[in-house]
Amino acid sequence: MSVDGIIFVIYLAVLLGIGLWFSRKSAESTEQYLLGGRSLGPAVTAMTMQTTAMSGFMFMGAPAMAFQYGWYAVWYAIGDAGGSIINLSVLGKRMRRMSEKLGALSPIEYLEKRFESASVRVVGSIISIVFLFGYVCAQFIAAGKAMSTLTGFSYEWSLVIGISVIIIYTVAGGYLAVAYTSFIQGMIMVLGVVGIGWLAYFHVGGLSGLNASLAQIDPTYLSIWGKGLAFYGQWGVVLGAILIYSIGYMGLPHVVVRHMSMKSTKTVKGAVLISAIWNQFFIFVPYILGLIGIILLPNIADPEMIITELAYTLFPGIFAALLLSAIMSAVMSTADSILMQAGSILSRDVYQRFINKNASQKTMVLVSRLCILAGGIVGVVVAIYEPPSIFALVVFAFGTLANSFLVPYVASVYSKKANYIGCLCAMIGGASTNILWTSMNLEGPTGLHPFLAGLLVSIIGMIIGSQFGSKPSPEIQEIFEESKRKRTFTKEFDRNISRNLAPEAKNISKFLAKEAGSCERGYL
Amino acid sequence: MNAILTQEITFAKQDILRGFRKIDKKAEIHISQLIYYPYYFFEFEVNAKSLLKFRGKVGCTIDALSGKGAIVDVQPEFSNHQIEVEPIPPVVFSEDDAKKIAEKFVFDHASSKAKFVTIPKIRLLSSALFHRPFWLAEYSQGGYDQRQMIFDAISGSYHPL
Repeated sequence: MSVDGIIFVIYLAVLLGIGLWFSRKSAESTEQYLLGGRSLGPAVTAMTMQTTAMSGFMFMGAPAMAFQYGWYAVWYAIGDAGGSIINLSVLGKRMRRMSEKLGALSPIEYLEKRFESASVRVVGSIISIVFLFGYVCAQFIAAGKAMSTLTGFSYEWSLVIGISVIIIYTVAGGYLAVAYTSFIQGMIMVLGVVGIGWLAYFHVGGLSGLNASLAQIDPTYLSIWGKGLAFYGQWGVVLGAILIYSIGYMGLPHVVVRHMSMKSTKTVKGAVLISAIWNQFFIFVPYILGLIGIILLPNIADPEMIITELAYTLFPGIFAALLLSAIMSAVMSTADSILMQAGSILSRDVYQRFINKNASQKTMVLVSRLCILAGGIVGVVVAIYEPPSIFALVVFAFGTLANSFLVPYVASVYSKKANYIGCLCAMIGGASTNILWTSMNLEGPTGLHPFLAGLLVSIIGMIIGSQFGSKPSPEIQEIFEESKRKRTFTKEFDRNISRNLAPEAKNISKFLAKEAGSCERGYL
Repeated sequence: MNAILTQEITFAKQDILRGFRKIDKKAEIHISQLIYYPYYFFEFEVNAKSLLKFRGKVGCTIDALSGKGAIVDVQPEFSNHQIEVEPIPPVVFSEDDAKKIAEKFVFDHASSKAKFVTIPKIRLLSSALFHRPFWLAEYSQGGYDQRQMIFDAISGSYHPL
């Protein structure tokens, strides 16, 4: 094994030691709640959130995309950075009002309640599985590449070793991935990427130096249409690139876990703010590093290894290996979370709902673990025999999500007629079109990004589907009308509403209406 | 008079008004009354055998009207309180039903967050039905109609009705 491989093993051992030490420490304190505790403080909590967001895509996929297409790749970053803004300001206003009235806590729950059908959740969950599968495959490929650099073995062997490490890591239990270990990993990655970015940025003479050098190599690197003007005039492709992340995020199958403060605290708010600022910063850095790679590493064999190569070029070997170990750990942490999530969705929304309604918790866990195993094996086979680029996989995964959810979200607040059949047609039609378009490579001949093709089919599905089946109930129609009315709150008020309290607000509202009704009857 | 188990109010009327003015200077707020909202509190011991041992307490609440779960951050302190006129929404979920929901909720949350491969053992340590105080308030701004809203008297967070 190479020296870098040994550094990686030591790195994992240190993480394990920290995990053990903290697990002993928290067990001593009986007052401490292990999963809901808030003793970490905003900085540690923020860094933990940040580490979860870091994945193989960020370190390998994004720079490779920028290396291939030049500044065009930044369209994806713009969509990614603006995602939350679009969610909040364009789609958000009416949806938020309706969500409050429905008492929904997550986007999927919102759709289920608005369209009054549990099948919406089931279909949404199944589509999420496609997304999760694509995403986990991307992590596996990233793990294989990182391990290959660390150990010096071939990609195939490294992939098998990488996945084995992920499995051991998962079996070892969450302590490796929670709190302080995430904090340390996050610090190494943040400092590493900022350090590489800083050094490389000045090495190429800042932004103007970077652009001048890019123009010398090929002026079309600076074009918004991609290198060689590959997407010239194809607004459909550009629009797809921008929208894909903005909308895809709304369909993420994240399980929303409510937290209730038993004492007043500002920790969470501070952490979310720190994390949001970091996220905005980190969305662009990998793409810029990809552009720098065109100048500093023009002959790199695998553009997905730009950050790693830059680390080895600019830092002493030991630091580069340490950074790569942290990247590998982040990849592992993301991969095992996704696998766990996919397993629980399949066992809850598919197995329990359709196959065994009375399944015990033990059976559910077993099914969930078997799904993880099966998904893992398929993932490894795909990653070895047909490894697509990490970026292509992530764009495909997000595209499927965005195509399934954009039209139902928009229709939920802008069309009173939109019903569950329309919603199901839009979701299934949109997702399957994206899958077909991507797998048959129809973007070239048609000039339409798979996302836009899916969007068109999804709209048609919603319009035609809503002609069939029952109309939305009078209660939903009333909520729809109420959501259309202009908001009577100030922006400041709106921004600070605690969305977690939606179910309580709905129930108190109902209770007060009932009380008022019975009082009126009493007077009569 | 009703005797209930509740939490000590952290945000009194004046605190809410003062805090809210910092967020929203244009609006007028009038706090009318307290509402005691029912929740079940469950405290579990979670024990999982892995390469690293996981053993600790997890606390959760189940909304007694909607059945929604929430993980709590610290061990809450409850006290008995006599209430006279404050309204209490009636409980929809029985304690047994809430317990089942809580077990599943904690199990799922523990499995996904701590990433166990083995099946964690969950043992109920204590449970209680408690009522969390919410301030009911009227909000008005500019020429618009009044709107009702609630303020959580423990965390100070709010939501329109």
